[in-house]
Parts: sequence; C-alpha cells; structure tokens
Amino acid sequence: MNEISTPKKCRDIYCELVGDYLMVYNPLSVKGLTVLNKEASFLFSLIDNKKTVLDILKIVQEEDKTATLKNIKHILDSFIFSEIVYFDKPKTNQFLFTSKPTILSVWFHITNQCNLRCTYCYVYKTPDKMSEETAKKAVVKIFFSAKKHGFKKIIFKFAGGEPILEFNKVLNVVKQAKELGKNNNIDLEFVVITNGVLLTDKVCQILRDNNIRVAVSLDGLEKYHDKTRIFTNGLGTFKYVEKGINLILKHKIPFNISITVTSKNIENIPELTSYLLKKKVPFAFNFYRENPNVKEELEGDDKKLVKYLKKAYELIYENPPKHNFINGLLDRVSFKGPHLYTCGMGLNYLVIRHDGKLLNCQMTQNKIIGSIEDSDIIESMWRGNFIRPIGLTVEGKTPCKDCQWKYICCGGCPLLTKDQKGKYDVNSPYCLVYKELIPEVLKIEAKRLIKYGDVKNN
Amino acid sequence: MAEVYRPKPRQSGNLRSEQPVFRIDKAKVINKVKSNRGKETTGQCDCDCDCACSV
Repeated sequence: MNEISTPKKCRDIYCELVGDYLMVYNPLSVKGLTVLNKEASFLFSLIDNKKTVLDILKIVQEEDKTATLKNIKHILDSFIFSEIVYFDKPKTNQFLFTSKPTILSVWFHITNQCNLRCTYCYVYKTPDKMSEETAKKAVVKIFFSAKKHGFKKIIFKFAGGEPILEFNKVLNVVKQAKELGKNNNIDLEFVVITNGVLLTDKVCQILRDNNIRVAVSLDGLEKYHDKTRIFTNGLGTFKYVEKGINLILKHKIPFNISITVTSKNIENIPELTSYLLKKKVPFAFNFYRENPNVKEELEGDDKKLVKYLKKAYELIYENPPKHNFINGLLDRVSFKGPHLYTCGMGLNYLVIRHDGKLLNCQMTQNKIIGSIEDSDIIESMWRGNFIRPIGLTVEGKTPCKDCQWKYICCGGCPLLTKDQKGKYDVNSPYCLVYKELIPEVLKIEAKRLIKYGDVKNN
Repeated sequence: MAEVYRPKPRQSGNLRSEQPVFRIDKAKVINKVKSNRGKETTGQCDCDCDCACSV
C-alpha cells in the first residue's frame, strides 16, 4: 500500500448499524464479523473504489488536522486484515473449491436402546446394540482410512439411543482411539450425545477425567420439555435432565445444550434462553425435521418461528456471553467460515450403526452405504453419497447461487430439502426464516465484539 | 449500505470547543475476542457444531 493506491471494498459485504458501531460482514471472509467504531466507520465510508489513500487522508485532515498517513495506513491495514477491504485483487471463491477437509466426524450409533421415548425421535427403538467386536473393528477401520486420506483430527460422537446405557463400551472406544490417535499422530475429540437423565457424579467424573464433552437435549422448561421428551411410561423428564445439567456444571465438563425447536416448545424458547443464559450454558437451536417414526404434527409455522427466535435473540443481544456461540443459534447456518456444503455428509462425516453398517447421516438409518467390513470406509462414504447431482454445492442450488448468505447457509439440510421439495438442488424450506434471522444473529456477534472485543490485529 | 457516522461540525466559541471533535487515532476495528476457542476453519463445514442434529 502506498499513497496513490486505491482501497476497494469487498463485494457482497453486509453492513448494519449496531448502536454507535457499524458491523461489516463479508461472507467470503474467514475472519468473521468486524465492527467499526465511529471514527473507523467514517474512514470506511470514504472508500469508494476511486479515492486513493492520499485523497482519503486529505478528507480526514479536514476533520482532524493531526491525522497522518501512518494513521490512515494503520486503519486500512486493519480493514485488510478483516477482509472487508482489498487493494490489488479481490478474494474469489476459488479457495473454497480447493480446500480439503482435515477433520473427520464419526457418529457412533452405539445402541438402539433408550430409557426415553421422545415423540420426535428418528430411531426405531430395539434392544440391539453395538458389540465389543464391532466397536473395536470400527475404530481400527476409522483410523486406517483417516490416516490414508490425510485427516488430521477425528471427532467421535457417541449417540444412540442413549449412549450412557453403554457407557463402558464408550469408554473402551475412547481408550482404543486414544492409543491409535497417539500412534498415528491424529488429534481426537469425543462427544457424548445424551438425554442427560442417567448422568451421575460418577459418570460425570469419568467424562471429565477422559476429556469427553457432552451434548444434552433440553427442549424447554418444565411442561414444555415434558411434552416431547418422556420416559417409556409417558412421564416427563425435565427435572431429571435439569439435575444432570447441574452435575455437568458441578464437574466443569465442557458441554452444550441441544434444543430441538418444534411447534410444541416454540413459545417457550425465549424463557428457555433466559434460563440458559443465567446458567451460563452454551446452547444450539436445531429445527425439527420430519422423519418416518413421527406421527404427530411438530413442524411450526415460519412466522411463529421467526417471532419467538427474535425474542430469544433480543435476550442474548442485551447480554451476550463472552464465548462465541452464534453457530448454534440458527439451525444449520454456520458462521465458522465460508463453505460450500451445509454439513459434511458424504465428505467428512460418517455414521456407524450399531451393527457395523455405514450411513451418510444418522437421520437415514435405513439407507446403508457400506459396512465396517469394507476395505476403506471413507471411500465407502464418498461412493455412498446419494445427493444428486453428484458433487452438488450451494453454487448448484437455485436460487441459492445468487444469495448473499450462500456461503454460511449453503441451502440448509439437503435431506429436509429433498423430503419437502423433491430434489436437492434447490433452497431450504427454511430459506425465508434463515434470511430474516441471519442479520439478527450477526447483531448478537457484533454486540459481543463491542462488549469484549480485542482491537489488536494479530 | 447502512448509514455511517459523519464527524460533527466543529463549533467556534470557547477554547474547549475548538479542540477537534473528531480524532482519527480513536478509530477501532474490532474483529475478535481474546477468549475465542480459535477453532480450525477448513472452508468446509466439519459438522462440529456440538449439536445433536435434532436427536
């Protein structure tokens, strides 16, 4: 950058005032959201793709005689660091097509058994569970393929059914994986996805000792949770789940709450949000997706969804937590960085069923794409990807390809889209909800940056 | 594009108000919070949202 260089604003940036600050979001940036205070936003407003650095300095000096070229360059450097301004060539989306995932997520469906009978569960409960032999073989196959294909990290997600019912098996897999991870120089993460009812001091202590994270399902307060998350005898589970959450907090286990938003709990979402904010617990809103096991109507209408989520967002906006959790606030929309696929299905996300069969997604329990007996289960995952056309990215979806949010939404859950619209290469049934709420979620992140932000640019 | 801040016009009068209202060295560009976990961004969703995907 020199005095006669011309700074340019990146294309497709989204700007909105948040209090006295200007939030600027470039969906192609890997740096996330940026907020500018009044002085910085004034300088940003002077960038019109024509004025040079010197022109900008002169205008600034009309307002502040002490302004120097060094001041201006320093701020422009910060804009470039944030990827909202460029000098030479604009960033294109090409890097998205060439980047290769380095993290493999493996969903370990360890049992079909469950102590609950949640009304919306996609799993048809049977006494079947993963055998020790299958579990051991699966872990060996995972590492063999992960190493072969250059994955640097594996995330094991233990699910079911209720995985705590098979806690010893979970621990055996963790132990085996840790050994193989060490030998193969592959990083590991472990998550147990539980209903929270069976958590005890002892279980929590073991989870903590083994560095296993937890995701607990909680869908509302008291009766709202109890409408859908029930024991086999039909009684509600709220008070048991609450006890489990308190134990997790007591043992300081990293965790989050997974909230499935349905027509049964939508009105309670703001109160639930308030409750979780007070407890300082991270949480994620997941929109309910229909599945063949559910007989009742659970899908809410979009207007109600927007109305109550906005109320929940307002509560978070008033007092945002210090940690970044916007990725969980709007279903499948991920602000982690620009991407072409909504999830890793068929790419870097694999489900191993209790009987050793492979699935693309846990929601498609009966769509078998391979087995742990296959020589390379990651190749089976790639071959078995049933999304059509083959290689479909958000750029191939209509009207997504022209949407400013395409690299964070990617058209939503492909299975839901296919189920409701009959094909994959179109936008999500939740498209309008996402579009209306994305700016609201960004404002929460802006508020967090304003409240706790660090102005250093490295 | 949202409205952006414009410096207030300077007022004449007492000595204090003749000081510049607008100081470019007060500019702040905020793009991160120190406590971020700094997770890897692969350019592709790694399905690492910790969520239970509607379980």
